[in-house]
Amino acid sequence: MQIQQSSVRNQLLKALSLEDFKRLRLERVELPVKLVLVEPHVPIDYLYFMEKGMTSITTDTSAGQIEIGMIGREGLVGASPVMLGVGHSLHCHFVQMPGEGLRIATQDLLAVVEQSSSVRHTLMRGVQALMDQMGQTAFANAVCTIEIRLARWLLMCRDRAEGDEMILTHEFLAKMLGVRRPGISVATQILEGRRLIKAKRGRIIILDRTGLKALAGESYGSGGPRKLDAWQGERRDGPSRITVSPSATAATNGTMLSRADVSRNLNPCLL
Amino acid sequence: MGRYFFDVSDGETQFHDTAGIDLSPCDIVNETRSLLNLLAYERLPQGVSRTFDAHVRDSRGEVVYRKTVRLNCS
Repeated sequence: MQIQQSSVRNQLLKALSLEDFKRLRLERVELPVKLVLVEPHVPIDYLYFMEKGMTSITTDTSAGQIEIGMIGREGLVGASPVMLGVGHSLHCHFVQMPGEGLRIATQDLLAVVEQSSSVRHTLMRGVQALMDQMGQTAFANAVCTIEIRLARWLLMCRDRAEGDEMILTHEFLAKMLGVRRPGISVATQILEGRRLIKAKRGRIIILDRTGLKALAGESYGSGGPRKLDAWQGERRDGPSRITVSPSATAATNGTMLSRADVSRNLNPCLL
Repeated sequence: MGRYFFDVSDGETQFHDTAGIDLSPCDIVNETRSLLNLLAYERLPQGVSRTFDAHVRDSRGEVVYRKTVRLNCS
């Protein structure tokens, strides 16, 4: 059955003209959790316009798995490597939040892009949006405290989940944010203490989205799904820029550490 | 493997871990060190000396490891 443009939710597809939309041979597919849509170093056969749910882009190294980007209904999974002519990615793209999408064969998409500069232009804006989001993630990882990064991540997740309750374990959040698990416990407590979220075992409920946005500030500025017509000049409310003091930087380099008190039990593993 | 809870203080605020994490006892030291490094990196105001403290409890509530780091600003 022909998919009608009026029925789709993906923002890229909605931004196309009806003529351009009809060029695309789309197939509606379920996207169960953990389904790998793009496997690292493997040629991409299909791209997925996200309709519902969310896909994570992660680095998978010997040091662990860290999320570097997420794609919801604002984007097309696989767009960057395909549109830029590489055809494969270094990174894994997997479904983190189950939903559904409209998939298209890579060759079919490239044929349409060859015919229509307006399709290419729209999809390239999606590529740029993802690059901007990744840049914001790098910024957040470099200078923001863990609770700010958690606030940002929850907001981005919530934008795509369309609900305030999310099933998330600390272990999972630690992987996504690239921090050790006890750090997530501290960040969660801080956000709970400010009554921004409620954390139950295995799930987090957002209580105050406005407060989370104020905390996340500029780190969230480009992280949420945005309408393509609001591409430039967007500004969000939030606190001033986050700075890192030279003394804190020195501390991490080990130049100022002096150990005052260490006590251990008898477990040899702890020595 | 066991469930361990990391209670930490940054010198001003005490954080009581109610969730805990499952890990090998051999990983407790590394987890604690990483946590204290993180806190020190993120929460040391310029020109201030501060003590960061971590207690690790097991599922019975017994403290199995404790580490304190003091950062002196001179």
